[in-house]
Amino acid sequence: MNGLTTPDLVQMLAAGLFSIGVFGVLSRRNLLIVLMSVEIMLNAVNVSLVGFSREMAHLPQGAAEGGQVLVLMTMAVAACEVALGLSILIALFRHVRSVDIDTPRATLLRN
Amino acid sequence: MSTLLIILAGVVILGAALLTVTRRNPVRAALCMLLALAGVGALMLGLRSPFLAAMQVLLYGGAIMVLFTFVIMLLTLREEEMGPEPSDGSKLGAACMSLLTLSVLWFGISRRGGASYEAPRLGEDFGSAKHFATFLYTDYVVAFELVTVLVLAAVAGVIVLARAPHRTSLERTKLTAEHPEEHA
Repeated sequence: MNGLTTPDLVQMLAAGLFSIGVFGVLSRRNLLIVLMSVEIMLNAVNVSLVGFSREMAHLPQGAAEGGQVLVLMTMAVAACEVALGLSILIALFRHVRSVDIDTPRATLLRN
Repeated sequence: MSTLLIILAGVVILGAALLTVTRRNPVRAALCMLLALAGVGALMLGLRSPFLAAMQVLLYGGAIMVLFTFVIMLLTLREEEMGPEPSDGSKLGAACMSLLTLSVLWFGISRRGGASYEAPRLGEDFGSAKHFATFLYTDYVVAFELVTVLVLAAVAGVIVLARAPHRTSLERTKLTAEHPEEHA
């Protein structure tokens, strides 16, 4: 742990959170959990951006605040994405009565 | 003090996120994710971004997780509707891919240097709502307006997706014939 500073700790936390999200997206078959994993990945990016913003807080006006504004934009995009994703999920569930992404009737769009 | 808060929040976040992606019951996964999101909020407080911490709790904890819980409760999934448990092979493959991602990111982080939070002249109001709004509504006002267009598009999309499936008049006649009391 020599030479590991607090900013690096935050970035590594963000990297770990992102990897957990990747694991969730790739391993789970429940569409609800897959959407949650995508949210976890978006959150990891937010953590990373806030960390970078804090690192640059001493720079002249506007260098650090851009990162914070970007985090707010990411949150707005995430909210839109969840609303659309969940309504697609409900529409899919109406058709195939399942939230399993590998159920035979749900894979019609793939090929 | 700040480092301690960051480590503590990090442990909570990583643990709760791991629980989220491994729980079978979606309600438990949603509750674990709520804990992870609250941890991210605490972390943002530790990083001197109180406004973003409030937005994190309001938007993620409030809006997004309530939406998730609402949909979970609405569907009330039975066991067979959730699909089978993923096979060990697919879990192993996913673990390999995520470890690969982690190692690439870790490599990049460990090779950068000279980052520190020892800011010589950090303003008292850094990260406050007032300071934040000054930048959001001047330098980044175009991005702000574009997000409003995005939200409008999302609302339109959700309405189109959520509409009841269109029935042809023949199907409607058939339904009325089968259940006259419901469609009177």
